[in-house]
Amino acid sequence: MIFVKFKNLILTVILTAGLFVTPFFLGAAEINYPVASYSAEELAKVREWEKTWAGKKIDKTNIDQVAEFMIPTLVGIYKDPGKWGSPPEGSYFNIVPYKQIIETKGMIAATKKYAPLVKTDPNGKILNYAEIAGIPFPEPKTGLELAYNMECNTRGDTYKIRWWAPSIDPRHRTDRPADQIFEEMYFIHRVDVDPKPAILKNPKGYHKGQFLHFVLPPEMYNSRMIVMKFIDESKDYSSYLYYSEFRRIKRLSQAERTNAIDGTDMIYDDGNMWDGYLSHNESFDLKGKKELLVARNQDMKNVTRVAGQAQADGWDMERCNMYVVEVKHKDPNYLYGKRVWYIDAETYMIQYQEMYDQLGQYWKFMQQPTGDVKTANDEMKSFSVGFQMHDMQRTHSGFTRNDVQKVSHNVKRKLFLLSNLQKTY
Amino acid sequence: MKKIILYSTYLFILCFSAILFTQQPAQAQIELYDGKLILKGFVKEVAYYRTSMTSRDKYYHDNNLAHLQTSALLEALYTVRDDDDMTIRLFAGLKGYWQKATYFDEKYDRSLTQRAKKSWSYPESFDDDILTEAYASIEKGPFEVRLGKQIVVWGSLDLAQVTDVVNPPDFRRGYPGINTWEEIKQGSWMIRAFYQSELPGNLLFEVIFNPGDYKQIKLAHEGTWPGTAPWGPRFADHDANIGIYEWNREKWTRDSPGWNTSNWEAGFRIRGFTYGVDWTFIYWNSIQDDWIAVASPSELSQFAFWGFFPDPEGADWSDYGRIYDAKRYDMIGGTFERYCPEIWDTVWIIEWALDFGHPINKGTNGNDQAPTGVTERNIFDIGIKMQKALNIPWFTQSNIACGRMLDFAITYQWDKVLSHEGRSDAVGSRWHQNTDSVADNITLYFKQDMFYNKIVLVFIGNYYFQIGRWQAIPSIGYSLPGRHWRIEGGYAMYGGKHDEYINYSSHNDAAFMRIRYEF
Repeated sequence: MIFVKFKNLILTVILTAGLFVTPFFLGAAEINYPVASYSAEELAKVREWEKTWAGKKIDKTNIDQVAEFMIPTLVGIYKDPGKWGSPPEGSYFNIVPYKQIIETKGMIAATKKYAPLVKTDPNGKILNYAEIAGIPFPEPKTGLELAYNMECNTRGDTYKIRWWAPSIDPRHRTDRPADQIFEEMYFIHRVDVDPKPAILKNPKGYHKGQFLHFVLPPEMYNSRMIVMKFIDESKDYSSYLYYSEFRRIKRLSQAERTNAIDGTDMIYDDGNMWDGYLSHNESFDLKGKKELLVARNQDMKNVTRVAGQAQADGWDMERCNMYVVEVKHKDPNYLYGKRVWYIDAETYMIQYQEMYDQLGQYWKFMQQPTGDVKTANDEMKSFSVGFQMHDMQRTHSGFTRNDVQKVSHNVKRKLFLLSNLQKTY
Repeated sequence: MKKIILYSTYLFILCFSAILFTQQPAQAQIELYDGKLILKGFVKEVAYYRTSMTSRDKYYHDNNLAHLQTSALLEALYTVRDDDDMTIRLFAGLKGYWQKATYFDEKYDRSLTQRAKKSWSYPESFDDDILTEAYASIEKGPFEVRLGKQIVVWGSLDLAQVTDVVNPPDFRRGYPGINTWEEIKQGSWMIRAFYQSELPGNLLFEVIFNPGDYKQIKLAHEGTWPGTAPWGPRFADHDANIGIYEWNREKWTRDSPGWNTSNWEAGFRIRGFTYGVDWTFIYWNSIQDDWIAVASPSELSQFAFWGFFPDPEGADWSDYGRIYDAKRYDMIGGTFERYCPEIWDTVWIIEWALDFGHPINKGTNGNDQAPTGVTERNIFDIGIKMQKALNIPWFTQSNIACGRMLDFAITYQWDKVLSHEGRSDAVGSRWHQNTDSVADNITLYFKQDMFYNKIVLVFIGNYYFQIGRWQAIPSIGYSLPGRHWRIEGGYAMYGGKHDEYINYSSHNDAAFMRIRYEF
């Protein structure tokens, strides 16, 4: 009787509730991730092209035939081996078939869980940035969304790599060696290592911590460096260098973020292609997509070079869609007039970067090849396995071979304390 | 003829080794047993060539090559265990040196005793001259303990030693900048423990206990480079190869307290980070690293007499009782370091120390060369340093600097003897003017990396206000292609007014060169 009496009321409540709840579930179901670089139709065309080119060795003699899928600067380097320290026959790379990269289970789960919860202001700034994880915008529409996606790829949350990284003078065909051990840990945006999505006990509000241990050059042997990035982007990076030759800890100023790193063409902001606060940039203009040949499933065993050779041999390049984003800094006196990022549409790693000076002249070119590495969770993770950069104005270069030692492992937080700087080794 | 052969052989060996070893594709460290054992070190050749000599200096030299030393350092680290629960490591360092200037200068021996020559030329004691450090490091959780012979560097300033009080230096063969801390600091046997707390400010507690391994500051021998010029009785007797300075130096070395449990040293340091400031607080209780004269004025006069006029009967230091001694004192101190974006993007470091009851001599008219007694004074020392990485628009991005900013630092140090009794206190410090309770100095430093750090230009200069003296040392370094070789050269200049009590020759200007092979 009661049900009959209040039938209309109950039905109204149920229907109203349904109206509110249904979009939530539908929204969750609509998260489409991972997203392949190509649609089925596009992929068919790529496969057709690969019938001609996959397995081919590309050098200065035939590079023009694939130049439409390359950044002109890189084509120029392959075509002028004398200038860039290559052997007389020039440098070469190989073309391999495109292969989709699937992220870790943790990244996929976090993306599906948190992407719908992302809150933004009218300018696109994420308001709950420290509370989310995964890729916040699986189907990005703007340059800023792509920048967020890039920053939220936490590279397994923790990792330890050893860099073998000569600074190269191609004109004199000499290398100046560098050998450093680098560890990084994210305090937020964690998808693969517990606690997820953030370390709760984080009173200083760290975004991530970096620890660098120098082996080479010899004058820096056993020097150590800690760099801490904060969630609050109004706080400057906190950087300390223990200079072993003087057994002193030196605090570094924020101004040194644009200082060239020890004999290389890189500045501290160039770490992992971009290591700074997104809010320090004025604009992220999405210029569209561009198909490029990219070393994104690279086995570094195939990559070789001789001393003084700027562009290494043996990169395995595949066709892939890249987002092109033009980035300008807020500081009109910033070192670079603009950066152009070429962001992998599947991993959101920046595969190529071009930098222009304050006069708008082309300055530097960077390449960050990626490859699969095994994580501590027994998964494969697409990770930066090397690095190349060329200063086009000074004709100077850098190369890095990343010996990826650990990914998604447990890192003790004391790694980032000053007490860890002044160690025996 | 003998010297020509010596020079030729020396230059051939140097060039041959440079050619031979630059071609080897070796690692910069040697890793053995799957990386459990790491070996690292260098071999170094340092030469000073004086560009100015008085006629008196020339009596003791037949050429201007004042210092030619081969030295080496070998460090070994063995990891016994390294896992999540515990880390155990063993570390040892060995050094050696060989001074060869006397082989090329037949008159050098005129200014050196055999004892001083040995001490300057090659290692004599395994513990004092060869073993730099030897300790076991055990880490478990927030605790770390290091047991053994160690070099500890406290403080944040580069060269000024305000709170850097644990290990006394050995200046017999050079100064910081040319020599590494491993060559200059004397390791001491100690227990050193750390506790990394999770208290606010990430407080790091450090405790040191030295059970009695006393080490004295070692100054350069008279007549050697770097050291005081030959003086003293040589004014009357040029052929006496010991001067008043070396006579005293040998005595205070012999009177050094040495190993004894009553010479224990202990202290602690707390390190934290609060409100953007890195700070430390230090307490240290120790026997002073230098010495004071404790003998009576008559004993001192008698001792000094035979320093001025060497005894023809051959009396030596053992004929005298204790002339010098080192006394206990304690100190507190600390450091503050802050990055100040609001002040021109600079980093500021303040380091201070307050010595309680630091022993000093009293002397007539403050003359520490003729002490009349002993007293204690509190001494306050403070150093303030501003450092900045300078971006010079027209230069930093040039093809010379290649993106490297100019490292610039300026340091002011002020040292004050409190309760100073004017003309009766003999401060006995190298930089204090006698009878003056204050000594202050200013240091200017800059470093510019050039051509992708292949070339490094460094300048360091000091001015000591009280004694009115300065030094300026520009140098340039070059890293050879490959991993091992570095060459540095420079010019050391000295100047300012003369002080009757300080034997600080204005004719010490010298060009220097250092070539180093690192592995």
